Parts: sequence; C-alpha cells; structure tokens
Amino acid sequence: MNTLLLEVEGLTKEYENYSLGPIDFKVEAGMIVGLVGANGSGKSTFFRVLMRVIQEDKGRIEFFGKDLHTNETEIKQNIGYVGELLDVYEYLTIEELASLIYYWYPSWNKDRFEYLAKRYEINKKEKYGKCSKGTKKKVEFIFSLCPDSWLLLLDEPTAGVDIVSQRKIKEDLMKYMDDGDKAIVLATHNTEELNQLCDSIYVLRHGKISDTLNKDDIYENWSRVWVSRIPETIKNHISIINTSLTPPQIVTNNIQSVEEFLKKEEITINHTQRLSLEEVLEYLIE
Amino acid sequence: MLEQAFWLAKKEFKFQWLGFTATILFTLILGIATAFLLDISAEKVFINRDTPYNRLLLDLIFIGITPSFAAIYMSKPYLSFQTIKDDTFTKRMALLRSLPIPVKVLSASRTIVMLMTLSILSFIFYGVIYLILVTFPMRFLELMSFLEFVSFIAIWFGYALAVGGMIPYIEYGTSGKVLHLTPFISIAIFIAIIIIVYSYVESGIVEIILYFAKENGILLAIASMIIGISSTYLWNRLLTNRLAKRDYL
Repeated sequence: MNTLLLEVEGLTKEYENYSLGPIDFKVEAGMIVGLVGANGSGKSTFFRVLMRVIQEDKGRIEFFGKDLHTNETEIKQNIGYVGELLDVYEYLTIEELASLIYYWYPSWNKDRFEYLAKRYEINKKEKYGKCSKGTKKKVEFIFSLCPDSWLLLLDEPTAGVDIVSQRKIKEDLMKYMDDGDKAIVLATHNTEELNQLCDSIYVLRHGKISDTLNKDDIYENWSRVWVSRIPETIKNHISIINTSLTPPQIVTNNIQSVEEFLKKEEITINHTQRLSLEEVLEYLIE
Repeated sequence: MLEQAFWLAKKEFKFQWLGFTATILFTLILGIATAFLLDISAEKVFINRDTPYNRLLLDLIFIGITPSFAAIYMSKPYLSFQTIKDDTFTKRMALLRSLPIPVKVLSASRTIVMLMTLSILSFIFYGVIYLILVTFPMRFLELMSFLEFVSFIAIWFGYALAVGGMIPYIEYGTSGKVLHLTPFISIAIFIAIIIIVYSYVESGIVEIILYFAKENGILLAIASMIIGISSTYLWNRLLTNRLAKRDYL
C-alpha cells in the first residue's frame, strides 16, 4: 500500500466573505496529524471538502494514491469521519442511525460496534436528538471506528466529552495506530491531545496553513528569552515571534540563531524558558 | 446499483412513517371531497346539467395538488417554516454524501421514493374517488366507462409525474427557501393558467380533460405517461449532476 495516505495540492474554496486555501497537505501512514486553528479558521470546511460534502474550486485530492473524484466510493469506504452531520437525523435512535450507516461499509465490524457502545456507555435505543453533546460526539466517534479504515478524519472528536471518555478515546486512537499503516488527522483545540497523540501539527489561519510544526522542533527551538535590552534591529530578525518591554523579553522559534544574534549585539540573556505547545499555539493562532 | 437505491428508499420510508401516514390520511380526505366535485363536473360536461360548484377548486386540486403526491407533503420539513433556516433535506443529503454511497445511487433512491410516494398516494386518491362514485348515488360512472375513467386517471398521473418529478430536485438540489417558495410560485402560475383557460374556452381544465378522456382517452393517456416518464428521467439526470457538484453546508 502507498505510504502516502492523503495528499492535497493547491486546494482552494472561495466564499463571498471567506476563502480556504490554497492548501497543500500530506499525511503518511503511521502518523497522527493535528490540525489547529481558531474558530472559523477553516478546519471543518477542510474536512468537508475532503469528504466531498463541499466541493473545492481548485486543487487535487488523493487518498491512498487514488484521485478522490474518480474513486470516491472506494476511498470513503476506507475513511472514518467525525464531522457533526448526524443531527439532522435526531429523530432516529442510535441503533437506527447505525443501521443507516453500516450498510455502506463492507468492512463494518458489528462486534466492534457492540463493544464500543458498551465501552462508552451508549444507550442504543436512545434517540440521537435526546443525547447530550458529549454523547453525540461519542456516537460519531464509535461510528468512525467501526469500519476497518486506513484513515480517520476527526473534527474535534472530544469536544464536550467527559474526562473518562476522553481518556478512552485517546486509548482507542492509539490502539487504532498499532498496525503502523494507518493514519489520523485530528482537528482539536485540546493541547493535551496534540501533545499526547500528534506527530506533527498544521496551523490553519484564515483558511490557510500558516505553520507546520513538528512536536520535537517546538521543544528544541521555541523559547522565551529575558534580555537586558531590546534594540530596534531585533524586531526584524526572522526568528523573533514576539517582543515585550516590561520586562524586556522576546519569543523565538529558533533559540540557537537568536542566541548568536544576541551575543553579537552584546545583549545579556538573563533567563531562558522553553515554551509549552499551548504557548506556541497561542502565538501562531492569534 | 438499483438494489442499493431500493434499500435506501426503503429506509427513507421507514424513517418517515409518521409523516407518510399523515400524508395518506390527508390524501384520503382530499379524495372524498374531490369525488363529489368530479361528479358535478362530469354532469356539466356530458349532460349539460348546470349544478353550481367550485370548478376553480377542482382545477387547483388536479393541477396543483396531484403533483404534490410525489412528496411526503405532510412531513415536518414541509409543514415547518423552520426548514427555510434548517434546510433539512440538504443536511440529510450532507450526511449521505459523507458516506461511501455513489451519487447515482443517491439520486436513484430519491427518484424511487418519489415514484413510490406518487404511486401510493395516487392509488389512494383515485381509489377513494372511485369508491365514493360507486358507493353514493352519483351519475359519474353512467357518464364515463371504467376504461375512460382509467384514461382520465392516467392523463393526470402522467401530468403529476412530469411536474412532481422535479420534487426530488427541489428537495435535495436546492435550499429550504426554494422548497417553501416553490408551492407559492406554482400556485400563482397555476391560477394564471386557469384564468387564461377560463377566459378563452369558458370551461374548467378538469372539465376539458374529462371531455377528451372520453373522446381520445387512451391516446392522451399514453402521451401523458410518456411525457411524465421522460420528465422523471430528465429530472433524475439533473439531480445526479447537481448532487455531485453542490455544496451541502
């Protein structure tokens, strides 16, 4: 099987007051990719374009080495998707919803559905519309795991979910990745999830991917540095993300290069602190 | 493909049983009222008996309402103006499009739902009319043979197919706003047509069809059915293209 499970090139979608892209995006087997961005940054729209619920204006989308447009049904059979689309069938019970969905997935595992429904304490006889927000999310998550898919596209799967179930979801995602030939794209606002699960993180800002981060790079390169003074020249430095004067401090995404620069400028470093992922994302998303 | 489309259509009926039952009940009542109007209309056409009746209402029932037998028109999306905002049909299709279902299966299933709804409701509507005509002391069946009455039904069924065939397209290819605007626009158009016909031939449209059903019934019925089937095929093709290309959210 192709190790590149998803490849997106030059994807754009124009709206009257908003545009998505151009987006280039790749997901390889064995990876969990995080997708972060402020509300309205385009995460859900991106997923919906990938699932053809929204049509792109331009660009190429390939799953598993195959073009989405010409192999749509076959591709979708191998994707698990969480995208908040079930609400329109609120009058159906969870069992009825499952019966509507499973038919279309040749690899749907009924035993897994039963097991997961029990594990997440889902009452299958309950009407979907009567479920709490968290339960709805859990139901969607369970549905996404029931086919033997190669790729999961998860749009905020833990939003509103209780702590115990959040932990179970994380466990199940890690278990899903056990084979090493699958991948997950996870849109989330939860930095703990990004920290624990994701190998790389794409930052979506105003419909465009503004940054691509590797988790290890963040810990090695992103720092807050307290300095003796802040000269005007420092603001033009390519690796300076933010400066403030009281007390004089800078935030950088390349500590080595900044340290060299400060030494050359004879500026004293008073203190250095590595930034957490949460802090880094705050700078990137703002 | 057809097997999958029928499976999905069956699910749709199962999920919509409440709305469908209400639609059947309303159609039954409509059939009862129509039978009496139709009897008076036939007496006027064939024996010049001038019993006053509301021919505009009768024309509106056949021209305006029989095509709506192609929809489960007493279901929530049709009865609630909230649909304008919620766009229920589009959201249903959004979920279905996210599943691994070929677009052709989706459009075929919608057309099957339309055909089955139209067939069942038409059967109930005309069946009730026939039962009333047989049960009550009316002259309709003296004035028209059974075959002529069947031709009359087939003419209107073909018409309902031609107009109602667009209903799946309106439901799933447009928005909730269009869904709720269409009946109003249609009724305005139908009334305009009726007024034009009245001013030229001084007869109701149902009266004219009754007359021709007796004269050239079978030919007209065949022509009407061909037009209806062709339209349904055309609307299905348009729906398939639309479903493949539209944005759902």
